[in-house]
Amino acid sequence: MFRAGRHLFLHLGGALGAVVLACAVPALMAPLLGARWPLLVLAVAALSFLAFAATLVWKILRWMRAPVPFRIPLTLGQQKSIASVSHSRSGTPHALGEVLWRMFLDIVLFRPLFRATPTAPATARGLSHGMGRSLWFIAVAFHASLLIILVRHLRLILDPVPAFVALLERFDVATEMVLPKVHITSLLFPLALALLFGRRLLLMRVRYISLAADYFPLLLLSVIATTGIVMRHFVRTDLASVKKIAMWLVYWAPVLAVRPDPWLVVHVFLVGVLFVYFPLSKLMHLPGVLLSPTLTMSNNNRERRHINPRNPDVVTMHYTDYEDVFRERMIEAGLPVEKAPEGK
Amino acid sequence: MAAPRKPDQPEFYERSVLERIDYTPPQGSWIRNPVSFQIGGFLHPAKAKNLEILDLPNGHAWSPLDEDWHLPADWEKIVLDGLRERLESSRTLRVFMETCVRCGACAEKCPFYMGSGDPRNMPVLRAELIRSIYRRYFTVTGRVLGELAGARALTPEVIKEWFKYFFQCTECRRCAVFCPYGIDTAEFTMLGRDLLLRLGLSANWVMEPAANCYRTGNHLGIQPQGVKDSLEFLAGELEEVTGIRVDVPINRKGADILFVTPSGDLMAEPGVYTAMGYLALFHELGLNYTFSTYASEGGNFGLFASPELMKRLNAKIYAEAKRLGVKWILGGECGHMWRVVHQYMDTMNGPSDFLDVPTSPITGTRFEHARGTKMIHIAEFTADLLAHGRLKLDPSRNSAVRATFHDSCNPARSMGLLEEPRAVLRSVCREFYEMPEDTIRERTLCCGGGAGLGADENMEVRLRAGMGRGKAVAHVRDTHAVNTLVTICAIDRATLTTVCDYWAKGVHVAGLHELVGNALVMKGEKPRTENFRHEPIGGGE
Repeated sequence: MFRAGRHLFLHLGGALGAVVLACAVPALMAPLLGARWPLLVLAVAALSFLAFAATLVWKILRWMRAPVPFRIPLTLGQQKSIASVSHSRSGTPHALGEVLWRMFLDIVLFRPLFRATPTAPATARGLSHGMGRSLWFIAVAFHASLLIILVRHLRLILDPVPAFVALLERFDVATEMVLPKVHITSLLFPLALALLFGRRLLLMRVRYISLAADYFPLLLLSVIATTGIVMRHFVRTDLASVKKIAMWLVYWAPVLAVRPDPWLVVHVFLVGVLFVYFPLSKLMHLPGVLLSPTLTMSNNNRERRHINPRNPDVVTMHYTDYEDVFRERMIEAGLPVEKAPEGK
Repeated sequence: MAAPRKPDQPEFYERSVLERIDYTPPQGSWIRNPVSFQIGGFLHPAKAKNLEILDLPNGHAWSPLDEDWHLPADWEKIVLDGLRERLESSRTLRVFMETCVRCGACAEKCPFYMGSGDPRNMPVLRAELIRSIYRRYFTVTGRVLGELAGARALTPEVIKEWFKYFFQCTECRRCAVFCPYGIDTAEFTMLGRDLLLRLGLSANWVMEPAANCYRTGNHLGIQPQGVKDSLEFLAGELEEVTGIRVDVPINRKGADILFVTPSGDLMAEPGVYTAMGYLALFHELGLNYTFSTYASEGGNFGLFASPELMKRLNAKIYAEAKRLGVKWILGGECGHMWRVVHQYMDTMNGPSDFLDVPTSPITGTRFEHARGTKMIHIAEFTADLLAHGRLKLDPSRNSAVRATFHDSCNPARSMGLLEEPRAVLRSVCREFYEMPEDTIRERTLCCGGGAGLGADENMEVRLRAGMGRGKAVAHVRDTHAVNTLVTICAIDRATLTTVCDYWAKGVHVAGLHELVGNALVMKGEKPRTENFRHEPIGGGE
């Protein structure tokens, strides 16, 4: 029983432990600081963002320092070749605009996941079916709502609130029956999180490959989302105060005394943890996909030579050495040779 | 009494047993589950003499079934230094090492996982076999947190696991089609094989052809006079069918075009019929071309061993084009050859500025898309001829053929050569039916025997990996009475023959230019009564 559960115990348990620890730290620290608690929020926000930016840049530079040895686009449609055959601009891009269009479809709209249609019944007998497009839906719901939520947060640090943020708020509405109004993303994001978490736990093969690094960000985001929703709809955190604190950071304005809010402290602290964790983890898939050679390179391989600065020098078999070995037999067979046989 | 069936024969395996696949992963963590080797499930080890021919270190006698693989004394250092070197020289690897989120979208897209249910055949896990070592030795979290961070120590068990699973991948890139980051598992398989080779470990089915190719110019080890004999023999066969004696130019200086094709097509059925198609076509066009014995191999088993070896074998093509003074290079029907030519050759062994932009002497078409590499695919060349109406064809000679087309993984997903062969096929054969949509073009399924897996001793692996393809073929056989699987890859022609015999009995495998040759109306030919296989044409079956 222990052996069966050991993998899950280690990785889910490890992730859970890390999140509990991350919650405990601000919960314990905030009371100690008393009235100066906003400083903790500010310090965490500022330092974690700096750590995020510095590590992110360092990581990407480290990636960029290594050359791309070969041009290896993944061709998902007809190549550009002869005039009588029209090529697939979005699947096998050739011109720069086509590459960008392919990147938009693959990276922004998650097209690879959309391709996952269930295996045709005709060929599937005895074969694995897969989950069809469900992962595409979950991934889009998750990332789109995360993006919208991030943009909505801009109103907390920008003054005046930009028009597009206000506009987004007007459209992102599930119901105005309750006050404050409920955003679609406030429902969709937790749902997507639950589905991502659920498939990791319930799909046995996905559980088999899942590590603590897969559970941890989901759990972290769950707590961040929960504290955010609690602040908005239940404890009704004083947004004006939050904005004052944030303003202090952005505009160096003096902080006024505000009501202590443990939810806010935990919320911001966990976002800080996420920021620090991001560049050290698989969350780097965001910049990573933008550098993925299979999705971002033009299929103009035979048209333009790709240079590999690390192209190794190698020993090859030269024709002269080859002919030296086989000369007699070549002459006998009537094949032309470069050099007459010696002594003849 | 019939001889007992052996594990290297397809008949040894019960269909119903292979079809009963359990996709439930075993209990516990894969990191701790040991690897075992069963007869029928692995390739024979590379012989030391083949590594010696190639001047590669650490060749030695060993067997996957032994406890001790006799690794060199400093094997850990060799592996880790090799990994570091590769990481430093490849952004591709660095990005693929760190961006996977283990979503599992690739898992059931892999023909090896589909056919086996073995979780280590999920592409994500195949990559994790190396990522776990990367984390332990190249990341802080892995060093500190160990298994909690998905890291593990490098042990001889890891090496055994790598040998098993990096030789259960044909580098077909199907997984990458469904990966949101385009992570190409072939990169991990290539890396794993490269690191293993540094320890003297590889498959003999990879290293023997590679050694042959280095020495004699082709995988089969055919010496120059043998290349000539084979081609002359095929010319004789062609004469029997058509009544026309064609010239077979070899090593001829002053030819306009160097023709390079896999050597398998010179020796083995059904590839030889495709080679006869080339001879017929080139003769009819009056093409000023030449074969080469020094560069008598289009394929490149170096691709399945290490980037350096790939470069060493590939170098002959440009070198020979230069020596013979040709204007450009034409390539035959082959799969991984075209992965190398299209994605690697110019970068490794270019620039080929001594050559001209390939231009069809028949239609005048300048193949601008190949103006850098100076090499075009025979399907592009023939499709261009057909688009200009420059071939006289009688498709009724293929009226016994009810065809379907198998997209070979490399031309499909690493080149985008999808419609040219179809255009040619439609012109030479009236009955053409596609297999189900999710098994063709960029989503094409695996022959099970590419990337050096086409041996007999690993028959169970091949039959399992070819199951999806086999069933798709059986589907069009049952619904459209398809009897011929057309493909443009020499490895396919060998491996899919086995797959079809097993999973889709009654369907045989043919090359595209075999059908072209059969349909081609040649000046001065005798009335054709039989095809290249000496079967009566027009309703033989």
